Amino acid sequence: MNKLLKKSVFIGMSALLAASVSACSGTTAGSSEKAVSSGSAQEKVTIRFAWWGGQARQKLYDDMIADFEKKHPNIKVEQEFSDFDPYWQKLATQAAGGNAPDVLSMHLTRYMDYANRKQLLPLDDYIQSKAIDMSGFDSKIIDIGKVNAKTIMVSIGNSSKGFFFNSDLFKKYNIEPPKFDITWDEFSQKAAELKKAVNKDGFYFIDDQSGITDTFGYFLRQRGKDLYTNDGKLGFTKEDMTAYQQYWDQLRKAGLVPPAALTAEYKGKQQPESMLVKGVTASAFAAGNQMKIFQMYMKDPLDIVRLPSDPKGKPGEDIGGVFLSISSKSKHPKEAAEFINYWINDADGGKMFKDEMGIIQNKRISEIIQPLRVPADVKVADYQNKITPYVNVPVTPPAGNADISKLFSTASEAIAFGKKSIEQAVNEFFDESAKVLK
Amino acid sequence: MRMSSFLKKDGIGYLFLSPWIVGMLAFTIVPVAASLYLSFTDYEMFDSPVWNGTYNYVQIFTNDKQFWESLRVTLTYVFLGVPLELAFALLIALMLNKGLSGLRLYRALYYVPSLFGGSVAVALLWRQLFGAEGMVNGFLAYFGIEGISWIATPETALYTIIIMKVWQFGSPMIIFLAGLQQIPNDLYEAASIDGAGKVSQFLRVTVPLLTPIIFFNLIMQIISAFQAFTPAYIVSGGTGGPLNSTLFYTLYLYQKGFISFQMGYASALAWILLIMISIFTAIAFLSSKKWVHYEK
Repeated sequence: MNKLLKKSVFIGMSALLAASVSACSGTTAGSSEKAVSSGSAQEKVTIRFAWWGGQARQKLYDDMIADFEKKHPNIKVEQEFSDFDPYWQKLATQAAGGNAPDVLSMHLTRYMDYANRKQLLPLDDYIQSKAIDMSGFDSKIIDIGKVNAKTIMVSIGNSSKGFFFNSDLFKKYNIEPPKFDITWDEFSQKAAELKKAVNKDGFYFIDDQSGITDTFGYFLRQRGKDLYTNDGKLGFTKEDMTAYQQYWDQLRKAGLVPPAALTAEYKGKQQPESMLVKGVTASAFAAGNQMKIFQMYMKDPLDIVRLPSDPKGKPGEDIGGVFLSISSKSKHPKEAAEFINYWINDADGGKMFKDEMGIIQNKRISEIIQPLRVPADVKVADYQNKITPYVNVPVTPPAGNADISKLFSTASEAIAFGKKSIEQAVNEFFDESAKVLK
Repeated sequence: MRMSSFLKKDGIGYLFLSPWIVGMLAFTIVPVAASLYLSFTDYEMFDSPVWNGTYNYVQIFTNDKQFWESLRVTLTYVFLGVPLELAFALLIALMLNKGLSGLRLYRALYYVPSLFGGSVAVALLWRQLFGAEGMVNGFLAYFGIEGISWIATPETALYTIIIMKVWQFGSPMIIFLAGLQQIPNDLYEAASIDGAGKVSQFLRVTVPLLTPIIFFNLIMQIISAFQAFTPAYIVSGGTGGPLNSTLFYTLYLYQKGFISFQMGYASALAWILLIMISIFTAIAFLSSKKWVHYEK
């Protein structure tokens, strides 16, 4: 080799080296960094914690994590967060790459995707040894976090759906507000009564629920069924779906729920932009923890009662909420468990967190924060207590759940836009579902 | 000694290229090859992929209504959006080529929408413009016309997105403008001496000399239109609704991959898209011999 070549090889190699070194330095800061913490000989461990939400929540979590780190000087917590939808995209990609965060936020609509694919660590040993202390929790709430008899997630707040209504509107038009236990028939009568009294174009009683599988689930459980069976098949018949679609179709034709185009336009909008806040509707079905969010954007006070039910049927309530899980690939499950335990049992943490993700289910912490609750949360906490006896533990949805929800909402849209008869849409839904749930 | 002579001659060049080669391999070639493999598997994201031959492809073509719906939406978008956009871009370029004073200002102004390209902000703006209480209906109300919600009606939703595509005519316009300024003035003089009017000058001088530019723009816009994703995602809130009327091919692909977690199936969809784009590009190239004139 001549001199020139040698020289350029050297330059090239050092350039490559420099590039790879600088690339590495970015990642070492991010991944588990091992340093000796001052004062103790313990190894310092970094765990990653992923959650969804916006800026207000970030401020809250910063404060809680600072408190946690003070109490656990050997653990450093890194946060990864984004909005709800991107959160799941990122998590799916990370999990597929074997790089999921140690502690991750879970949701009842999604956990089965991860649990069924063995991405979540069973927590039973930690719960048994009280490393994660769940003694303050109702056994029903603990059961919701189980898949195949193993606990894979821990509740940090739960709420059930309620029927929210604008109570000022009822007062103003001198109409008796809905009772706590309202039937489906009474619900549509109430809707007609209010619509007649208000007598305004573009005003409706409630947004169209015909495409919402959640609400359909209530309807089905009242009939002793559910969206799915335990072995992951559809849990209802064509007759059930037809009855449900007919109910909403009547309300739509009577002008009590908005026409299809208006429904489509509001699809995917958040609470501040919702029909209820904009005064397009007088009521909504939503999870209890959303009441304070609605109230932030509207002056009229909301009240909450049970969703309509069947007087001869069973209770339809289920429960939603946010949970914490540990990734099955986590290298620091012990520290991750400590972190979860802080979240559900620490009094200082609880006072900051309050009912951010739904009503806190640890009774001990719930008592501590009762004086700190805002009026909307007091109402909702009271509501949640009243309906807990009615709550069913939801059936774990199968992996194709996202596709089924989409097919269901497409069927409802086809009916609402008058493109298909109820019979056609229902038949097509069953044909297409059979392809998804094999 | 052959090896060392190779090193002497080209080795240094490759050495300096190596960062790019490594990047190309790691971030393009390998993932593309992997997706080809995955398209022949049942891959549910967290499980390991299981080979299932051509099953995904067979399913897509024989048993998937949404595939055909999304194909119809995307083809409508390409074959309506691209010609309209190019015609509009050419029209504006011709006007700007008249030697207006302040040409540079106008050129910049008309280019601005393209800078926002597939941006989220524009799509959100569109959602507002064409909503039930949007500006379009506000404008129509002056004439006593009561508009509908354009983005929420299955018959019109796709066309609002096509209008957005046409509105972003800036980059083909700039290229047209450059092409127009290349056409020598003496050709027009000669044509007018021969008694050609404005229209016939345009058809017989401008268009033939502009065909290479039209061809270039056509290819670029077809490829990008097939890959359109953001407008549909934002305008429909990620659903492709109402009633799948804005379910673009890429949006459907995305839903399969990241909502249903069927990565193998989504990979197959991606390869079908790639092949489709190649076919349409090839058709454009083959036909170009017939209508594209290069100046000798």
